[in-house]
Amino acid sequence: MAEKTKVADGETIEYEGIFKLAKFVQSIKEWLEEKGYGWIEKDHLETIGPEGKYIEAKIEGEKKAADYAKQILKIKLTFENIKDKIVDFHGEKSRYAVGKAKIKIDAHVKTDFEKRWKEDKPAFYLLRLFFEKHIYSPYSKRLEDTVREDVNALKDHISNYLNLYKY
Amino acid sequence: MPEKIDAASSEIKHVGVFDFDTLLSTVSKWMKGQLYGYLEKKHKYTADERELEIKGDKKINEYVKLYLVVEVEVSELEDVEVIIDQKKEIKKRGKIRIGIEGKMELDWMKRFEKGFYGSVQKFYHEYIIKHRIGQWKDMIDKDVYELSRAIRGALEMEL
Repeated sequence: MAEKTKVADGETIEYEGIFKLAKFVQSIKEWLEEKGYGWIEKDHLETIGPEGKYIEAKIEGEKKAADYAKQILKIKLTFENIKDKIVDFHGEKSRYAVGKAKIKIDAHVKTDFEKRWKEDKPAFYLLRLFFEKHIYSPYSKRLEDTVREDVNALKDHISNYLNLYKY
Repeated sequence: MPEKIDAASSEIKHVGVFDFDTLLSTVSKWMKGQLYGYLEKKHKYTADERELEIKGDKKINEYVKLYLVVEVEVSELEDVEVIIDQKKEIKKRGKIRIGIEGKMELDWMKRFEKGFYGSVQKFYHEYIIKHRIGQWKDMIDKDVYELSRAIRGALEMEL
């Protein structure tokens, strides 16, 4: 049976102001792909209201660490009250978005994702417990640390892009 | 024995003005351009609703086939007058949901049956073409993403 270990649970970055929407999302996509996580858009919603556009996208990226474990990042991007603004920057006009952005990050390590250790056989179940506790544990700890580092690096990347203060 | 493997799936929801014909022609062009077959399995048409199920398959070789299933559901459809380049045009406004599912089928020609050949097939999948199965899955994942991008472009969505 596949088992999940949570590394990041709903870590959020919020921003309100001016930014280039498509470029911002593209930068996150490039970051994930550079780190070896794929980019799967599970859900994408766009509506227009009197306050502006509302956009919500759920992204999933996963990296196979070995045949036994996978690192998974889930990102939920929410943009609220998005309005277009044309900005004249050094004589060059370009289109920006003004509004609120919220980025929520979840991350976990999934072991036995191929479900080879089936639970219907008690001996297999015990063997898996023994394997995960005593043989695989240093390796899975290292994987969790790598995912933690990736989450921190992604948060830094987003903060840098949005020019947020860092403490 | 044929084996179907689920790959990436994606869902697009949009509320606003869109051109249904442009959307359908985009899906059809994209699928044909990527050498997928194009089959409308279901087409429901009422005054303010549309329901559509499109299936496409692509033969990679004699053992592997990729499938794309696109489900389109439109509701609360109404005509609106839009001004584009100072010209009035009638467009449709409503709620649209598009689901895209990617699938892969191994042994679609049913050459391996149960029994001894079933065990041979298991060995073949687990130890001989395991890496290639991953590559084909990546291929269909990429197609789901590209089709989703094309659809969002046709709907003139922001992202």
